[in-house]
This record gives sequence, C-alpha cells and structure tokens, in this order.
Amino acid sequence: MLRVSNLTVDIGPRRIVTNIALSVAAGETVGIVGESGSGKSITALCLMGLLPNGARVVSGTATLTHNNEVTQLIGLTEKQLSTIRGKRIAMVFQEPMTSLNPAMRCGAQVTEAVTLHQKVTGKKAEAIALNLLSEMQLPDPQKAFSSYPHQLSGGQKQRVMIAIALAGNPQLLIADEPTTALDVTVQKGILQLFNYLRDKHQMGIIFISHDLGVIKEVANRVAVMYRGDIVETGSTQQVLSSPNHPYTQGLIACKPPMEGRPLKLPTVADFVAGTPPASTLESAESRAQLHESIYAQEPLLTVSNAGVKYVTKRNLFGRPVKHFTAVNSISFQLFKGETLGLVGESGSGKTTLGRTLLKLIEEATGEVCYNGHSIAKFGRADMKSFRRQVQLIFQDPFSALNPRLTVGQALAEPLRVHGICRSAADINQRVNELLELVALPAEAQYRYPHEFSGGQRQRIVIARALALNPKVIVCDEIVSALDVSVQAQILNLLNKLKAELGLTYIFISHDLSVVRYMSNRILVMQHGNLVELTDADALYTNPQTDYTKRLIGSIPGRE
Amino acid sequence: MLLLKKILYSILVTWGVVTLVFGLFNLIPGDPARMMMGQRTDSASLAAVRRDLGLDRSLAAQYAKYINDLSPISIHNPNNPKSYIYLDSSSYTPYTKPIKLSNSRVVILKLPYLRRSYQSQQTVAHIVKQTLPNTFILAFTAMGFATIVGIALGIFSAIKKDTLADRVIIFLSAIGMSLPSFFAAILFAWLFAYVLGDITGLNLTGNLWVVDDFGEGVHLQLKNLILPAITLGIRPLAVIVQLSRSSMLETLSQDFIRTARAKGLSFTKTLWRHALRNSLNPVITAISGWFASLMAGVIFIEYIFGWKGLGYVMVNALNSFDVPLVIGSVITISIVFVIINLIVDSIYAWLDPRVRMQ
Repeated sequence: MLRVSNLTVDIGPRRIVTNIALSVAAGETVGIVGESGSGKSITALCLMGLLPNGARVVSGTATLTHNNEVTQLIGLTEKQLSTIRGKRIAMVFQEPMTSLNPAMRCGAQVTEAVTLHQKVTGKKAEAIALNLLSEMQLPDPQKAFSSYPHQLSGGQKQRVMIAIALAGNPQLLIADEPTTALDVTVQKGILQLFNYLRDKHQMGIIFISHDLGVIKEVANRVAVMYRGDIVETGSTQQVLSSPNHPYTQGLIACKPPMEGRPLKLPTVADFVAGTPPASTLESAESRAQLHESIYAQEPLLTVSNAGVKYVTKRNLFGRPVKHFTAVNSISFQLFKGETLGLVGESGSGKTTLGRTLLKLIEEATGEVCYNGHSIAKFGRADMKSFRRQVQLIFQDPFSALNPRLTVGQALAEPLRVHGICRSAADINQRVNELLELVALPAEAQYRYPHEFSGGQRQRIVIARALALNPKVIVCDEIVSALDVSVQAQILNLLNKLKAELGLTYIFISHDLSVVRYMSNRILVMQHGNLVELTDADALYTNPQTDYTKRLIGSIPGRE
Repeated sequence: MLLLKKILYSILVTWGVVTLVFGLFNLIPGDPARMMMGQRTDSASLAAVRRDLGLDRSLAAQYAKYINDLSPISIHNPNNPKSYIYLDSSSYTPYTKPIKLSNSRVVILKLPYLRRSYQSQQTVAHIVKQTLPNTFILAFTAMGFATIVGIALGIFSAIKKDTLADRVIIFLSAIGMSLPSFFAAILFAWLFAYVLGDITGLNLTGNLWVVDDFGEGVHLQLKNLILPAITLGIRPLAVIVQLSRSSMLETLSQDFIRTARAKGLSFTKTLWRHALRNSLNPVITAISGWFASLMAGVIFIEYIFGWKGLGYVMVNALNSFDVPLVIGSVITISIVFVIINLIVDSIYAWLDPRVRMQ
C-alpha cells in the first residue's frame, strides 16, 4: 500500500536520511527502530509533508495505493497535502502532554477532525467523535469528551490523540514513539489498542520506537535504522531472533536480559566495531555469597517511617486543608555495597523518597539514620560530611550541568567547596583522575557541556558526584534519557565504579529490566506506599503482590 | 471560590492604598485650612474651618473618620449635628434606610464620601463623576487601538518572520517603546495639528464636548479624541506588537500545532482555531499591566491636549494644593486599577482552563 524508494532528506548541509526504501501493506504494522538522530522521525514527517524548516527532500519517491488509485506523497503543494493529511495518512506523536491544544476540550478536538474529513457537522459529528472515543476504550468516554487535556492522564490523552488520528479513516497510521512517555502498565494497554485497530480497520501502521521490546509486541515486520540508513528489514520474529547487521545484533544484546546477569553488558559499539564481547554470566553461588556478606553487616542507612505530605490546598487564612501524600511511612535499610532498586510508576514517590534520604525535602517526616546517627540531629559539620558522603545524580544530563562552566571547573567546584584539594595542582590532578574513572579523555576538562553527547554528559555528572569520594549515590532515572546503546555503557560504568570504589547505590528507575539487572534488592512503590521489598531475582520469579505482578507482566517484549 | 478570594484580596489592596494615601498627605507640609481660606483670614475663622474639617482631632481620630467616610458601610450619629460622625445628608447619600444600632448610632450603606474640594466647594465625587468618563473614553480608546493594531501587527509579523515587513515592524516598535509619552504628545500635536493642521483638520487641544463659538450648544467633537488616544496608545502598542509576535512564534512551534496540521487543517485554520487563543495569554497580562502605566500617562496627555479628564483635574488640584481633590483622584484611579486587574484575571482564567485548576 505504501511504497517508499530511494528517499533522501537533508537538513541544511547534513544528510539525515540516506536512500531508504520501505513498504507497508494494509493490515500490517511495520516497526522502525533506531536511536535518536537516526532519522526515523524525519522519515515519518516527510511522508506527512510536515518536515521542519530547513529540511528538504533531495530525491526519492513515496506512493500510497488504495483501491488501485496511486497517490504521490513527495513534492505536493499545501493544498494537495491537506487532502492527504488526516484523511489518507494520520499521525500520533510522542508527547501526549503537549500534543493536544490545552485550551480546547478533548471532544471538540476530535469533533474538529471528524467535521474536517467526514462531511458531517454539529450533533452528528459530535456523536461520531464520542463513538471514536469509546472505540479507544477510554474508561469514561463521555467524561473525556468534555474534559480539557490537563484533566486527563497521559495514557488517556494518547487515546484521544489516536481518536483524532482515526477520525478521517486513514489508510496509513504513523505512530512516532507513542508510548515512550508512558508508564509500562499504561503502555501495554496502548499497544494492545494499536493491534486491535490495525486488525479491525485493516490499516497499515508505521510504528516508530527505540525499544525493541515494544516493537516485538506490535510489529509484523521491522526496519532497523542506523545513521539515516535502513540497515536491516525483515519479519519481526526473524530480525529479533537472528539479526544480520552488527548494529541490530548490538541493539538486541545491549539490553539487560530478563534472565541471568552478564558481568558486563555488551555494547553496540563493540558489535559495530566487529568485536562482540564474550558474555560471562554472574554465577548464582558468587551472588549468594556476596549477598550473605552484604546483609551480615550493620545497615549503612536506616529509614524509619519516612513520609512526605505536600499541601495542595489552603483555606483563606493559609491553613492547609488538603494534602497529597507523596511518600507514606516507608521503612527500610540500606547495606554497604548493595544496589537497592526503587521502581514504581510515575507519581509513585520514588524520586521524593530518594530526596528524603538526602534531607533535601523540608516536609519530610520520620527518621533517617546514617551509620546509626539520626541525620535530623546533625550539626553543621556533620551535615557537611553527610552531604559529601551521599551524592545524587539526576535524570537529565542536559540541565544538570551549568552551561557556563567548563567540565574542569564543574568538577573542581565540589573539591574546593569541601576543601578536599587546596592547591591548583592538587585540583588538576584530581580532575584528571575523575575523568579517567569515567573513561573520558583528559582534555575534556577544557570544554563546555554543550560539546558533549547525552551519554558523555551523564559521565561528567557521575564524575562530579564521585569527586567527593561518596559512600552512597542516589541515581535518579539516570539512564532514562539515553539511547539503549549508551545506556549499556553507563550501566557498565556504574558497576565498574561500584566494584572499584566500594560504592552503595540507590537506583531509581521505571525500567524494570534495567533495575533487575543493576539491583541486589528491589523496593516497589505505588502511590507513595512500599508494596514489596525483596531480592531482585525473587521479585521477578515470585512476585508477592498483584501490583508487582502487573508491573512485571507489562514489560514489553516478554514471551 | 477563586473569584471570591480575588475580590477579598482586592478589598485588602484598596484598603492598603487608602491608608498609604492618608499617611502621605498627612506628611506633606502646609495647612489645609489656610489654603482653603486664603492668606488673609483671621485666626478665629481659621480655627472654625479647622474644627469643621476635623483637623483639630488626633491623627487616629482623623484616620477613623476618613475610613468611615470611604467605607461603603459606615457608622454615624443621626441626631447631634455637632458630632464628629454626624449623618450629614449633604455629604452622604445612603442607599438604604439607616439601620439603628442604638439611640445615637446608625449604620448606613452609602457611596464612599470623598469630601469637598477646597477650591470649588463641590463634592469630590461630583467632580470625579464629571471627569472620569472622559478619562475612561480616552484610556479605552487608546488601549483598544493599541490592542487591536498591536495584536494584528504582531501576528502578521510572526507569520512573515524574517521578511522585510517583519523587520520594519520590529524596528518601528522599538522606536515606539523608547518614545516618552509627553514628548510624543508634543511631537504629534505639533506635526498633525499645526504643520499638517490644514490637511488633517485636527486641533492642538480640545475636549470631547465643545461649546460652539456662539456659546449656544454643546457639540460632540470625536476628532479631538484621535491625537491624545494615539499618543497614549503608542507605547502599549509597541509592546503588544513585540509580545504577540514572540508569543505567536512560540505557540506555532508547539506540538499541538503539529497535531492540528497533521489532522489536515489548513495553516489559516490552525492559526485561528489553535494558535491564536493560546498565544494571547501573555498579551492579555501585558495589557492589564499597561493599564496602570496608562493611568499615569493619561495625566500628562490630558494636560498637554487640554482633555478634561481626571488627570487634568488632578494636575490642577496639585497646583492649587486642593488636597481632598488629589486624594479623591488618587483613590479613584487606584480603585479603577484594582477592578481592571480583577477583570483581567477572570479573562485569563477563561482563556486558559489550566488557570482554573489552581
């Protein structure tokens, strides 16, 4: 139905998409996988005639065939495009939070698309729109119809987006990372919806994702994009089980597996360079031994009844009348040398709990004891030393570094603040050491953060946290913003540092396979409550609560 | 609930302003009684006037009476004309029958009493009532002109980004922003009413209502509104152009605009249905803020163009030390300002449903 050949797209002087060919049949989902910057989104936008300013199609054709009628898609005028957009090809975007007009009710936005494409108006169009919303399996279509986008959850908004896309009965639906911003449990529902709609309407779907697990759930065929080129296509089954191209092999291998624990994760770079590493799994005995020694110690950090309540509403006199409980009376212990995973859906209180441990949240109640001493009773000197020993790394490496400081200055700052190094020579030496620890070249210290990629920046942030020789590092979603291939490198780095420096991690993530790979024990949170705290492997093989079972069952791409 | 809170807050702000004004005018030198009676009065009549104005009382008592006079709900003595809070029917115009508290105390609902002008002996309320509409006409015309032309030009230059037209608009608005209004007033008056006076037919000065040459009838002269309104509107216009341009550009780059385009809407429809309303929020906020400076700017403009509005009256009152009239004008302007802010906040909530949540 859709046939793309020799498509080449430039943005300015840079070639983004190189000579690609792609075809989609009716009733088929084709997955496009690749990392950020590989050209997958640009390919999709090109088919819609929505290329960003400065981008242009250099060569290539794309045709859409329906009922023996062939339509060209490249080089159309705005007028011609408006007969295609929404009617023949529709698109669903990644960010449901920002992709809907905040000042219009959801129903009106769906109705608008219906009136545009179906030659109906008024009550009739509204009825069709409402029908579409119920087809999207929204819990309360009537309510969603009269709601503003900010009143709906992320998953519900994405369902509204899909309803808008289907309003014109398109032959081809392009979904660009439609579930990336959503929780796994919500993602599962959306993926099922895509499969249901494909079969019911016999649509062709192009499903763009960076996550092979997601692709496995929805795609019949898959195309792997790497640096603007489609390096491999084939049925999903075949590509995932016996990949030909080294990049695909790397992509599959670098994802933390659900069984076994390689001592070092293979990385895409290894495969592309043609030297895939032999993977050695951590043996069950050595792991059991390790756990025995870890958990025989006195706990490093003891948290009792930690709670955080935020005031959400005050009365006229400023007295709080409504609260939101972000963390509800959680108690646990952290032992030296372990990695404690913290999982839960967004809004479950993971980040808040992590910050409570560092005494970064004013509203926190309960007690946190470090080495047997309550941090609430720390004086200035004790607090300063505590701050040095417990460090925090954030999710977004782009905003965590001051753009006006060179990397060297950023690393030297904590050294100076805590008086660890006094002379310039000492500082210089320590900065070099730190960069070496995170495998960055020494000359990196003279450069500014914007000159580095996301993965490199995350290394810099890690180096900065290490500058003070901490004992504990709280890692808050630190690989979530990174591509899978880079993610494996950072995870390997963290594990290497842990072994070399005897660190203890609290590893916060929504990605269950990453958490399983990294952690010794895992703490599951839901709505601010502790649901389960147990050994990482035991949690996955034998989950005790329904919530954990549901979380694990939602991991995409599991047999 | 949100509105109620805002109203309560507004009342508090008004009270603050009123108190501040009271404090300020008690700090300035000069004896109001002497100013009222002129230099050549004997001390006996001065004392009488002073007693009459309550200037012989303590500051606290004066303040209490001042607030009692201004408050829409006030306490009075209906019987004793000598009482400090005697219910004088020439000063107060109650809405309702006095509600009796005790033999010598009643509560009434009334318009705020702003006292009498030292100069003309008219009540300040009367003067305000006569001149405020003129000021409103001028301010709203100026703001309407600035808003409509400003948003139109801003959106136009956003769509035509980086073209010659866009650059010219930006350049002119930069000039408009840096032009002081009193200078613009003189420049415009000279250029359009003197140099080009024969072509435009505009006058250097003039009020909305003009007595004709024979002194017979009063005529509406709408053309006298043109120059003061444009002069007053220039700076807000320049700011609104820039704001709506950048706001529109930002809105156009957002995801939901891409969604609207992907739906199949044409660019024009996307602009009208999706971009416009979302891009207006910062512009509305700016407009509300500009009303404040407009109220300040209006004083110069009215004076220069001889426009008989509250600002004109206020400048004259300041020159002749007519304290009640100055206080009355300041309080009126600040109340107007508070009310405008209240209205703008409500518009804001209507434009952006997310504001209603908080």
